[in-house]
Amino acid sequence: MDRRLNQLRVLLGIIAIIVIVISCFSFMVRQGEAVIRVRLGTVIETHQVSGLQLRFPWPIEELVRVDTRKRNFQSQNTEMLTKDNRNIILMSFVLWSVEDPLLFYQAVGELEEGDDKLNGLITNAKISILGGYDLSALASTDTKLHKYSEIEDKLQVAIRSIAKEQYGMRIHDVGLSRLSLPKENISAVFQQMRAERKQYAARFKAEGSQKAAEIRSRTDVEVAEIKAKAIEEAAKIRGDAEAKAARIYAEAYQKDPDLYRFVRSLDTLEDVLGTKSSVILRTDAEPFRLLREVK
Amino acid sequence: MDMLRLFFSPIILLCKRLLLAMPYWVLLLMALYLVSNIQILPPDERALIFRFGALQHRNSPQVVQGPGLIFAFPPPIDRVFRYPAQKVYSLSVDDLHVPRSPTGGFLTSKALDPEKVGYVLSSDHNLLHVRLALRYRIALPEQYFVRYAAPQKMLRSLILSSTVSQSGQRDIDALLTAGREKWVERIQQELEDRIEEQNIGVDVVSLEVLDVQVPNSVRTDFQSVQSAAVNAQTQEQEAKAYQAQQLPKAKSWANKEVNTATEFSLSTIAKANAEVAQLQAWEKEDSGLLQSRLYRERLRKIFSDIGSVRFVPPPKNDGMRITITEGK
Repeated sequence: MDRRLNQLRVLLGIIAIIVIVISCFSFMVRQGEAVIRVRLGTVIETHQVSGLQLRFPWPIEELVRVDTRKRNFQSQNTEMLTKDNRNIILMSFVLWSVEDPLLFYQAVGELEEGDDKLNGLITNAKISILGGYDLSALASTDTKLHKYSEIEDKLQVAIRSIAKEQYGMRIHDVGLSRLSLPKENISAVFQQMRAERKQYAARFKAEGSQKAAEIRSRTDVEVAEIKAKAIEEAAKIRGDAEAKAARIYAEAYQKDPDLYRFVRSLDTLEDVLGTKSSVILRTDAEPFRLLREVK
Repeated sequence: MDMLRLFFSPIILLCKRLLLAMPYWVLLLMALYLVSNIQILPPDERALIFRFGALQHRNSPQVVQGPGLIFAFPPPIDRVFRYPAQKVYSLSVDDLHVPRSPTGGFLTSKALDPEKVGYVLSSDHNLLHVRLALRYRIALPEQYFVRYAAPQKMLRSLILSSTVSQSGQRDIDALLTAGREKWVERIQQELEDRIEEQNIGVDVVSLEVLDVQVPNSVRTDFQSVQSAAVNAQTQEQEAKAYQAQQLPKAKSWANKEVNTATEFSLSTIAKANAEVAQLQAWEKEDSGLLQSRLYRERLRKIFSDIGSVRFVPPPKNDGMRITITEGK
């Protein structure tokens, strides 16, 4: 039993030694990573292909790992002047990665310092490039004036070669992520917005009044037209009726003028004398003379 | 062959001795260790396998493993990275809006400090707060998880850039009203183009504008425009109501006028016909007797309705002068 236990201890020891030797003489290059092998202070090789690689153990060789994945750097707000002397504040982003790990390690060091280097590059580029454009290049309805993409491309071109040659960084994309105005100018902007809205409100009010007045006056004209036509038609009807009645009376007059005149006279008397009429008659008028003569 | 046998035979001998010397529980532990990285992926999950740090089957369709049984060596040889395949990820972009206060409401800033408060500038240089949300799926995991250190940060930057760019091409009324749909479409289109250009490996499901607001300081002025528009509509409606009321009234009056005239026409002609008919009937009678009769009948009727009658004596020989004296 003891013999077996001793054998087991020896065997486990051998396995442990094998594992330690393998780990000391090999290393992994992870995906998205580069490893620089430094032997006694001298750079031996830069490994960018992922997998298991061989090495000498520390302190003979040291490993420097560099993240080569694409990273996003967001710059700070930078105030600048456009060509038409407008103060604007721009924030930009840069998509970059380490292309030359050795150069990056020697010129820059840590990834955070890479962001610092980029901040300087992009800020400088923004100020110089934006100085050649009006504000309308960033904010305009006219597509011919709007140069947003062109500015972004120019920024990328401006920093790309320096980033590569000086720092071993590859620039994949540059963009403008915020366009703001200095807070000191905001009150003026608000005033402009208010004035514009007042203008719109006044226009709506005027348009509304005008439309309403048009509708009302059109209505009044139509009403007057309708009434005038009706009056005209009614007058015509009345006129025709009276003419016809007159023809009828004329025919009757032709047949017996005396009787017609007598009856019309009686009709006239009946129409003229009413409850408010006072009549003065002679005592010898017919038939009232009978009131005197009958005894 | 003999050389190979000579080289490997000590190793083989060592392994045999190893296996024979091992207690069963050690052998069991070793076996468990060997199978420890064999995994079962459910239907909604996929995996990437990294062997000694290198992505397996890179640039081939087999790079994405699963679902089902995944065979992998134990760590540190293989590393299995699992991710939800069908999940729709959400990314909320608040950088262009007013931040929420600790109590849950919105901070308002009269000065709109760009360090604290976000907004976009429209083409007519008006300011607008915008909040967006991106929904996306991972289409190429080897790009999204492996090639990018912080892919969501990258997406956020692209959304911001596209939003600022597209907002600067439209005036504020288009952003707030009729042009909003087109604006969001264009932002999404530009974003998708840039995602494809950078090969980020995501498919955009949707881009939503969650909130669009004018700054607090001018909100009343914008609302007054709305009120003015509503008032204008009200005035127009009132005028139309007046029209709707007056025209039928006028037509009704016109109808009445014509009807009255028609009635008059009918009654006048009927009266004339009646009177003529009466005359024709009277013509058959003796004219002297007829006139006397008619005279008396009418006199009776007239004097029954008359106001007052006064009798005066006939004038004397000196003419027609009549003297009227007040009496009983």
